[in-house]
Amino acid sequence: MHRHTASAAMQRTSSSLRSRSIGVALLAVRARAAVKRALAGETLSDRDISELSNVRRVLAGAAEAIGYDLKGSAPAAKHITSVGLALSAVAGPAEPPDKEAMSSHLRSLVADLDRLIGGEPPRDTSALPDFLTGLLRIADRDTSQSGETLVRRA
Amino acid sequence: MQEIADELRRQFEDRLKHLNSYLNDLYEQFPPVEERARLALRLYDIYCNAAREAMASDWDHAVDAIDRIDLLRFYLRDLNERAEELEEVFAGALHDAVPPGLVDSVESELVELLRTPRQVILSVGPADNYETMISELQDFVFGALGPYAPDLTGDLQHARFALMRLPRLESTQPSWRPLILGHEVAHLAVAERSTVADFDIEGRLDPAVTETLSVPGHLSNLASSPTLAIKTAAEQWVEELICDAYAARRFGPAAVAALGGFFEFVGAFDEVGGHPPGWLRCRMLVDWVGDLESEGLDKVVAPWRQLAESPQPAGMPDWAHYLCGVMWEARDSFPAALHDWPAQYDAAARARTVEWLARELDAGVSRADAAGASGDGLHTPFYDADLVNAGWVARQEPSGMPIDRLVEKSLESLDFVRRWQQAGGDIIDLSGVPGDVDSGQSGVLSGVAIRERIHEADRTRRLVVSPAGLSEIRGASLDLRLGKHFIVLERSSTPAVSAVAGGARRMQAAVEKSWDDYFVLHPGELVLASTLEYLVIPSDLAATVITRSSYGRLGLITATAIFVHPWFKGCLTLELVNLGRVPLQLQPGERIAQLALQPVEPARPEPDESDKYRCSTRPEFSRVTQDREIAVLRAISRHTEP
Repeated sequence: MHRHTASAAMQRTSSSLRSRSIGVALLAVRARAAVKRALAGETLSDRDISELSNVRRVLAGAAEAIGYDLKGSAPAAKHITSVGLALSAVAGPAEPPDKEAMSSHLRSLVADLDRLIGGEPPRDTSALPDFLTGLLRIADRDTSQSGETLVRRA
Repeated sequence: MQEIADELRRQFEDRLKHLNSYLNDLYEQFPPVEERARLALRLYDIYCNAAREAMASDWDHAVDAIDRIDLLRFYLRDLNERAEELEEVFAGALHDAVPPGLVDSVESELVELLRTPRQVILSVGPADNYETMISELQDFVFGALGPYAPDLTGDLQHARFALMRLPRLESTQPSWRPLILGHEVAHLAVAERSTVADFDIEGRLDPAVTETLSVPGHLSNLASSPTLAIKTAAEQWVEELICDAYAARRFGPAAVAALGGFFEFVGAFDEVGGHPPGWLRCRMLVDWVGDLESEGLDKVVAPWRQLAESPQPAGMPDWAHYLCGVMWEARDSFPAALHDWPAQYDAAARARTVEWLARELDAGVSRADAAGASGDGLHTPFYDADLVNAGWVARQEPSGMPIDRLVEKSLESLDFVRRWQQAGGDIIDLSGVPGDVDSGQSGVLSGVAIRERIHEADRTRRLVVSPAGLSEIRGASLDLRLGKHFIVLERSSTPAVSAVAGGARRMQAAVEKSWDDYFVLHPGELVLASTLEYLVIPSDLAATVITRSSYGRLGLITATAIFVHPWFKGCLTLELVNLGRVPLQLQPGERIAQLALQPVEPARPEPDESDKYRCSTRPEFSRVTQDREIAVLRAISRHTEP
């Protein structure tokens, strides 16, 4: 629940953002398990393919959002969470973002996911697991009660 | 690591069990008439099962203990969210500070504003904020389960909810209605109508300027360009200002006073973030309401006009300073964006009505109709915005009258009259009294004489019955209807109650019913109720209230203290007792009592503010301990406690 102690008539925004972060985090855990199985040479089940496709959609959305930003127009609000999480996971919150590099990195991750879904090995075996784990750490911080970083606490 | 995973799973399942138990307890506490809340709680029941199944499936699908620990961590977080919602929204909705009448009003408002009906759930929240859930409740509850969210069927599939949390102080006071029935409900309408997208604030921003500004602090975590962040902030501000514009459209001057007052109350005048500063919002509200010829209404707006004319607060970040300029330039576009929203309140046209109502409030009279009013130019029926504005006007010159309580009573009666008419009930014209009527020299006033007194031109001799016209006046009495407020006696360990020593209050609880609900009076039970009608008995009349014989034959006694003094103002408190052998089901609005009036020698001067039950609008707890001689009796008594 967004509690902005100095303003009236607020939307319930932070809870919805927390719920969305939790959803993305669970999606990332499921996908990471599928990636581990793929990297171990196991045959992916339909469920594994589905999990990889789900996280691919999120990363592609984030890449698209940053792409809009780089072109000078703004993405839809629904992309904000994906962008925020992705950027923080890639660049770290303390570093100024290099949007070109992040866009390139996200596209590379999406390409690796496409290879895994198609039964081929990724170009970089550690990039996807590291990114997904990074995503979890950010979501962990953002969904803890003391770490409201997606919205400002008054 | 596997031990940690196993322990987290055990705790998750344990917590789910407790949450389910709490959920069932909440469900049982909501009476069947609260269908909205019970429907919403079923979603949480489904969530508990779905989360358990999803977690079990994910557990089996996980590769190692690290995966399982991460899974459980987030499932626990999600469970925490659900527990918080149950506590804040549903437990809060059981709080008696949220009047059922307000829930009905919000629901009616949303019927006008939205394309689909909403199940409204109001609860008491933080003291410094109003909160409205914009997202669909189903998405909220099941969102984190993603592809494992269950398919909803039946009434849950299509049900849409409106969850709002209100500050306790403001939720019971009608003065603050522009906040909830104006601003907050507008958020739901904005979401449904895409009003912000249509507003196209992006076209009013200059990227050459925005790219040079600082990133808004509340959006800094996006780590993106200032232009993107400022565009996001601008859209947030546009939504808030559209909702303010709707409050002004709906309530006129009262919206300025209510919103301005709340901004000051919570210290929002110069703070910026996801909301524009209160200074800008006041400035816009004053501009939208415009100049007011009515002296009373102008006084309501005047303080905020002064504040709005003050310079922009110092120390505002550059991006906020820029957006204040953009929004002010676009100020005419906000009311224009509401062109296809429900009808606008015309404060200028309604001014005379508002001022008349304000004078009635100042005199301690609650009005839901203009029966017996003299003077031209009154608009009837009254709107709720008339009454809310009248309350603000009346408060400008303190009269010692409980203005908020009188406005609340007027709104309540107005709501009943609307329902009455919508259900096919007639409003009887009680005017047209023939001249030279014997006004009661023979004793009890006849029906004709009562009608004459209702339409008496001399205010000091006028009998006020509001609302009037719900039933004919026949014979020599006036029928009175049951109100919606009750005081019940609860089981208590108190051994005895004494009028001298007190103690009765501990055993009594106030209950409010909706107009469409009923109250059950058990055999032998005593409850306090009040009349729907607000009465003003002139100084030369006294009255007696007794049970209507139709109800007496059911075993109901409606009054034990039956005498009503001259000068009485308020709703009569009725002592209801069921002398029958079966419970009596009583619906608010039933015509259970009758009032006989008789002339008396003009009584003593009007009672002063120390009159214990002055201007009561609902049954009052006994205040016998405030009687002047109680101190003497206590001094005589050798007992200190019953």
